[in-house]
Amino acid sequence: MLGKLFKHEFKATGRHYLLMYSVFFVITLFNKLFLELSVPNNRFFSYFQNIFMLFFVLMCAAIFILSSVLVVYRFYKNLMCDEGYLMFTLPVKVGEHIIVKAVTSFVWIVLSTIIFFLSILILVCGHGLGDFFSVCSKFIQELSIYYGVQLNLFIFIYVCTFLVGILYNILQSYFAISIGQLVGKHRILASIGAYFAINFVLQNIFGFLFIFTNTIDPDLFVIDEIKKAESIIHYLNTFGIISLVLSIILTVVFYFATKLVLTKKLNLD
Amino acid sequence: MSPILECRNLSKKYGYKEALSGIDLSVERGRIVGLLGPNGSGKSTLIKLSNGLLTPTNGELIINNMPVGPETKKIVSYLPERTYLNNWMKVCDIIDFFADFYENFDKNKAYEMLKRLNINAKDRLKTMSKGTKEKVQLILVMSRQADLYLLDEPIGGVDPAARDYILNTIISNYNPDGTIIISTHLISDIEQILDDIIFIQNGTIVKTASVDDIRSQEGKSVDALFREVFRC
Repeated sequence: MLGKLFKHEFKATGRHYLLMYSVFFVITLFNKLFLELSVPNNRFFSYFQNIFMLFFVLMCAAIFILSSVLVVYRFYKNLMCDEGYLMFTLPVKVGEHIIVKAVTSFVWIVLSTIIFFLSILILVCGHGLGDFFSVCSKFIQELSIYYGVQLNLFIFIYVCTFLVGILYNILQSYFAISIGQLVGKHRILASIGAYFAINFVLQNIFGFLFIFTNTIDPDLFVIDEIKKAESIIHYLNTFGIISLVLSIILTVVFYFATKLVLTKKLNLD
Repeated sequence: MSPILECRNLSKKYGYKEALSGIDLSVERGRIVGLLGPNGSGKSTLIKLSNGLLTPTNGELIINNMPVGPETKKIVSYLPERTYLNNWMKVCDIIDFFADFYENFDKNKAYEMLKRLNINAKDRLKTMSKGTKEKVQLILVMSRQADLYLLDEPIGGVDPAARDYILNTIISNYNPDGTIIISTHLISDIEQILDDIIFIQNGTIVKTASVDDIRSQEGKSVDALFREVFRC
C-alpha cells in the first residue's frame, strides 16, 4: 500500500513542482543568454537584461515560498477537505498517509534547493567559477589543517540539521493542521494559530533550557587566537549536536501527535 | 450469521449539539436498507461514523465483527453526498486509483457502465457537470464487490430520469451477498427497491421494520408511513 500511495502522491504533487522547475529553468536560461550576449550601450537590451534579472531574483524567492505553500496546501486539501472523503476511506492506516505526504514533500523541497543552487551555478558558470571553486577548496583545506576532524564533524552536523529541519517543519505544519481541524469552523485560521502556538511554546522551553544548562564554553573569551578558534568550532559542534537530536525527537513527536489526532479525533465536516 | 453493521449505544456530539444520541442498531447481510429521516436527523453522521470520517463521542460501531479501521474500509464502499474527486484527473486515472487501492474493484465493470452512460474515460473531471461527476462517483462505488455499500443521498443531485437509471445501476450491480444502506429523504423514488427501513429523527432511531411488514401490517406505503411519523 505504501508504494501505491507514494506513486499517486508523486503524480499528484509532481505536476505543480515540475511546472515550477521548468519556469525557473527557462528564466535562468534567458538570463544566461542575456548575460553572455552583452551588447554595449544599447538601452533596449539592458532593459531586458534587468527585467530578466529581476524575474530571476523573484523566482529564487518564489521557489522556496511556493514549495512550502504547496506542502501545507496539499496536506490540507487532500486530507481535510472534500478529497479527504476519498483518502480516509481507503484501506490505509493514518500513519501511512502522514509518512507518504511528509517524505514526498521532503523530496520536493530538497529538489527545489538543488535546482536553486544549480540555476545559480548556470548563471555564474564561465565567470570566474573555476577560481571560486579553487578558492573554496583552498579555504576548506586550510580550515581542516586547523580543525581536522572537528571540521568534518561540523559539516556533517549542519548538513544533517538542514535535512532534519525540513522534515521537522513539514511535520510541525501537519500537526498544526490536524489541531486546526478539531475546531469546527475557521479551520485554516485555527491551524495557523496552532502553528504559532507550537513555536511559542517550544521557543520558550528551549530558551530556558539553554540558559539553565549554561553550555557556553569559557574558552570562548580567552585571548589566544588558536585556542579561541578551536573552542568556537567545538562550541558550535556541541550546540549543533544538541539541536540536531532535539529536532529529531520533536519531528518524531510531531508525527505521533498528528497520527493520534487524526486517528482518534478526525472530524471531516 | 453476524450482522454486517452494529451500533451499540452510539453517540456523536458536535460541540454541545447532539447529532446521534445513544443509538442501538443492527443491520443484517444481503439487504437493501433505506436510512430515512428529515434533514439534519443524523443520517450522514451515522454513515460518516461507519466510514471512520468521524469518531464517535461514545459507544461502539462494529462492521463485520471489527471496529472501523483499514480492514473494514476494504469491504465498505462509500458514496458521499459531496464530490470527493479532484479536478485534474481524467476518469481513467481515477479508475486506476480505485483499482490500485481496492482489491474488490472491477475495472471492466466500471468501463462498461461508463460506456452505457456515454461518459468518455479520457475526459477530465474538470470539464464535467456536477451531475456527470456524481454519476462517475456512483460508477466507481458500484464497481466494487463490497460487503457493505453506504450511499449517502445518491439521487439527491440528479434529474428524475437519471434517478431511475441510478437505482437500476445500484440494484443490478451490487454484490448480492452484500448490504446496501441508502440514506435519502426522497422516499417514493427508492421505495420499490427497499427490503428494510430505518426511520431516524433528532439523532434517535424511531422505527426499524421490513417493507413487507409495513405493507401487510399497517397497510401503507413507506412514503405514507414516513409522512405520518415525521408530520410537522
